[in-house]
Amino acid sequence: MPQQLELARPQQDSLKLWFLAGFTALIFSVFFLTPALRPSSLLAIVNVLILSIPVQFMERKGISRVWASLLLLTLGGLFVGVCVTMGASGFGAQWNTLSAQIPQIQAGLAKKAEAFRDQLSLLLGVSIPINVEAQILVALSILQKKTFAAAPEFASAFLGALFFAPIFTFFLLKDSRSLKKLVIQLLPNRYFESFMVIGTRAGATLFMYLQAKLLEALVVGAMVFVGLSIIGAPYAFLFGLIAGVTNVLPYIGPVLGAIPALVIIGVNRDSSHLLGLSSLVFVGANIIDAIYIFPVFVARWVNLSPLTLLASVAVGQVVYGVIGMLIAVPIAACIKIIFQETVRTLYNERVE
Amino acid sequence: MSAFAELWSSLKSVRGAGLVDAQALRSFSIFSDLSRQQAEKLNDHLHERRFQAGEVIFDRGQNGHALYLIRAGDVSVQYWDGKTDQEVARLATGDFFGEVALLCDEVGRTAKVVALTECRCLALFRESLNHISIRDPALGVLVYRDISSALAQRLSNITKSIDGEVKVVGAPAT
Repeated sequence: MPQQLELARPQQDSLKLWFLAGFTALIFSVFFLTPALRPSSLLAIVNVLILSIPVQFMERKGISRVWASLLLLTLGGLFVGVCVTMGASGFGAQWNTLSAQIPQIQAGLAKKAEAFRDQLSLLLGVSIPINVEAQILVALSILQKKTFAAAPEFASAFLGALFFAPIFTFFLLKDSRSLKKLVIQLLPNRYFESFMVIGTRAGATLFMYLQAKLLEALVVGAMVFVGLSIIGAPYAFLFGLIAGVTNVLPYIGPVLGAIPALVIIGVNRDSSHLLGLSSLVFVGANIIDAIYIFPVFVARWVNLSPLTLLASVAVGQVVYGVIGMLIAVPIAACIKIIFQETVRTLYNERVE
Repeated sequence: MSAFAELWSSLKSVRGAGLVDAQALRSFSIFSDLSRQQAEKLNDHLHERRFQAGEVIFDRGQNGHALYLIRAGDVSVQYWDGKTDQEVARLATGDFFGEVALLCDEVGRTAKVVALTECRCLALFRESLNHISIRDPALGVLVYRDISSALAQRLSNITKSIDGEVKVVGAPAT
């Protein structure tokens, strides 16, 4: 009898695995085939990672999972609302001033470029017949048109995320335990331990990566804001915010965050030492990030070599653009965990 | 049970309530000294598995990551004597096995454990125990102490057996 049962298991196990694979494929295909839902889904996953611990704590205090999720989402929404309102007043004031200065910035940019053209002409001894001001105006107008054309799509994605993310978060929080139980129940006993270990480690890595990136963005944003405020650069809050947000993107984020600030400061003020000091602020913040924050909080927690980090970000960008760059590092960390566990299992089995 | 019937049974069991309540967890001898709150916290980290009679729960040399508490059923602990698997102990409801893999990362399973009847076990993973120790050091110490005490008792039984003081030993370390 026991022998018969052992022989019967592969059939039962493979049926369970096929069901699980189909279920997983269904979820992933919904994610990949509906681009409009991607930002909301990603935001919801981030929210669930953050809120799952307090929900568990509240459950232990006798509050039902549904009420705990609702309460935390409401409190989270209020907190974000207050932060956005407070930040928006500073952001809005600086944004309005900046918008009003755009013609001056354009003229400044054209003036600098013309001066550069004249210097180059002198150096080469030939005249360069290019109307730089007109060229810059054309380029800026194309950029403006493209921005305006992309604005409705961006606004709809943003509003969609604002509407769907809390709903997805609520249902994921409410049903995450049942989903986890379903997956565990469908796992054949012989894969149970390996899967659980991989799942736990991958989950912990994702959680730590998220924490580390948020901390990194906050610290870099704060350093840029404080640094620019000290040297008296304009729009310190706005540029600090941009530097913090773009820092979430590995490697190119810091450069992207510095470009608008340096261009605007460079063309807006005659004093070249302010541009130099602003560059120093950005370089300093990124050196501190590269030497201390990233290795201590991000690379160590995800346990990947710098080369692997770089390669994973490059592959992520090629495959899936900006979102690919955002999710490349945690995915690479999870692949490493799966690989290590598989090698360990195969090695142990071979040794025995 | 046919493959489809087992799949359906697995899907249906998801709707059932969680694992054991805190009181039931304290009925396991190794966790009898936990407070109700501590048992509830530990309960969050346990995973129930069902094994059919004759099913190998784990084999010697396999990668191990978890300790199993027997909630219902009987299991046989077997050692390889070079020729065949020899049963060295039978464990029943309330007992536990797999503690070596829980405590040592690099050591594979030291014995083979087979379900003698249909079994329901609760798995506690090393990762979970590490997590508990960081979040709630007092509970972590208590769980480690309980498992270490049980392990020491098993080691003592084996030592006595080697010395010839007793013929029948308790459960060996698994």
